[in-house]
Amino acid sequence: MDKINPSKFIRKSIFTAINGMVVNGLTIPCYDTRVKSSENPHFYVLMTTQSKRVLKQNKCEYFWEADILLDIVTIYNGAGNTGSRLLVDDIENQIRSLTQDLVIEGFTTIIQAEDFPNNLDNINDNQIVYRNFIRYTLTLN
Amino acid sequence: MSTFIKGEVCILSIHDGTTYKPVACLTSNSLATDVSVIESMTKCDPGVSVKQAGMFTYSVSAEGQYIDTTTVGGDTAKKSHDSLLVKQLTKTLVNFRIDTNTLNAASVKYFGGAVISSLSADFGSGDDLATFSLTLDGSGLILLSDPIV
Repeated sequence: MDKINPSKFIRKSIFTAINGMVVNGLTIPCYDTRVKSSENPHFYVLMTTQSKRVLKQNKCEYFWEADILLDIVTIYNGAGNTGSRLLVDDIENQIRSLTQDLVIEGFTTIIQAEDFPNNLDNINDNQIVYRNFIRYTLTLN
Repeated sequence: MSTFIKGEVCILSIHDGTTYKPVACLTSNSLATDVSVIESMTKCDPGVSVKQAGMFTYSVSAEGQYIDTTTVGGDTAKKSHDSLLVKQLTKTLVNFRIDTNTLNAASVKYFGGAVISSLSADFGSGDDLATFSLTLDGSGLILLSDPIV
């Protein structure tokens, strides 16, 4: 397997596609793993867990099969039943629209698959956090 | 010590008139050889069957992922369903080589002539890659050296 690690190129492609997208009038930033300490956004997307494996599907060449998990976060402060899941769903839709055909620098995308792990809602006395997830699985040559 | 060979280094190639080109992208390939058995029984030895070797036949089969090997931008150094179909339509014998270990120049190699008796392409849906399969029906004997040299 002589192909280089595709992880940073996958992040670059996704970041380029979705960072700064406008959803429902809000500009949504994208971060790698965690939010910048100088910023305190309430609505954002994190590029999180990545994994990859070598696929030996044929005798010509090996493929990479690489996963990346996007974590869509919407935070609503205040007591009571604040906010809703509307924005997190709209951000998910917008991400899907912007990433239909990811171009990964240095690689050819053979297959792009996506799945959606269970959403995660965190509710406490003064804050509600709604999170959706998208996992992309890319087969790269 | 036994030397084991991984299947991935065993490659089927087809001669295109100039050189052997690997069939691509192979996912598996095999060689099957058979000798028919002629069985007889005489009244001298009742209840005892006598067997003789009959006709030698062989076939080569392969499966792979479909790639473009004929158009501009295609991988013309290889042979896949598209260029094999052109060969099949000529209805002539093709020369093949099976290299049992492409990592070792001194490896065992099988040569022969064959008819492309079966060729099929399968175009699935969704994320399935297009595939093809090939069967070569051997003519004559299998050789251990290249008859074309």
